[in-house]
Amino acid sequence: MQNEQWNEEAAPESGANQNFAAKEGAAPFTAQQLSDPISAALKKIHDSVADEPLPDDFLDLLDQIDRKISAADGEA
Amino acid sequence: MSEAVEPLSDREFRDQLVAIMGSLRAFARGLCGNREMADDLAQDALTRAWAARHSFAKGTNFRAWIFIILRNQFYTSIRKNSRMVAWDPDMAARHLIAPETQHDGLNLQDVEVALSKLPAEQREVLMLVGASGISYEEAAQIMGCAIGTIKSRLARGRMALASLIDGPELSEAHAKGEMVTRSNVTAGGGLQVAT
Repeated sequence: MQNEQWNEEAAPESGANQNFAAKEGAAPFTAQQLSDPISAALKKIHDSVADEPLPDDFLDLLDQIDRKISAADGEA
Repeated sequence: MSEAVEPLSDREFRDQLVAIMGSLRAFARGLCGNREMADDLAQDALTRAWAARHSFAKGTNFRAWIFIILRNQFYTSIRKNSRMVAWDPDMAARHLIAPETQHDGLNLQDVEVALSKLPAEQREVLMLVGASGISYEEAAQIMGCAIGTIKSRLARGRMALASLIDGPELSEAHAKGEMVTRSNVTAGGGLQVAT
């Protein structure tokens, strides 16, 4: 099942699922809620894109930013 | 050039960009339904965000801030370029997700194709609230509309999606079943449905 998104009790420290905004104190989702097929499919679609490796263009952009930060550090 | 906001340091801002990249790509993909165009949009938003980093106030919602940048850019582009208006269902099936992705519920490609047939405003709210688990409040902030509008678009979008996937007979039960189960979630979660 797709309940790895919601097993916060099992991994309270993870915090990796902030996209789902499941805050402390929220009730855990029941099996019935997890089985809502539309929500489950939408989450799967979202996650499959969000978890794709970043294309080179994005990494290049990050490199540019990192170089700017390093250069600014050098000047300081 | 004085600004009233306290900005993040460049390094802090860079870390925020890195953390948001996946969600930003997913939101862009949901908006325009085309891998290349979505990545262009996301990259453009990242570049614009970096250029405008001093106007982001520390302690405010970074995701909403950068999603708004991307969303504005998307709607500006489709006004200028009619080729971006419509999702192409065939493109959706080919581009959105890896075809080998398996799922024990609905066929994801069926959902993709159904999404592609919805009005942009419904698709957008389904991607934000349904897929990303963003709260109504944050979705309203991102889309620049009232919370009530978010709720009605979400309800209409779910109904339309269910209808496209199941056919009109099953769709009502599907959509209603969802409302019943969602309302059991207590306040505080990102996905709660106010009744």
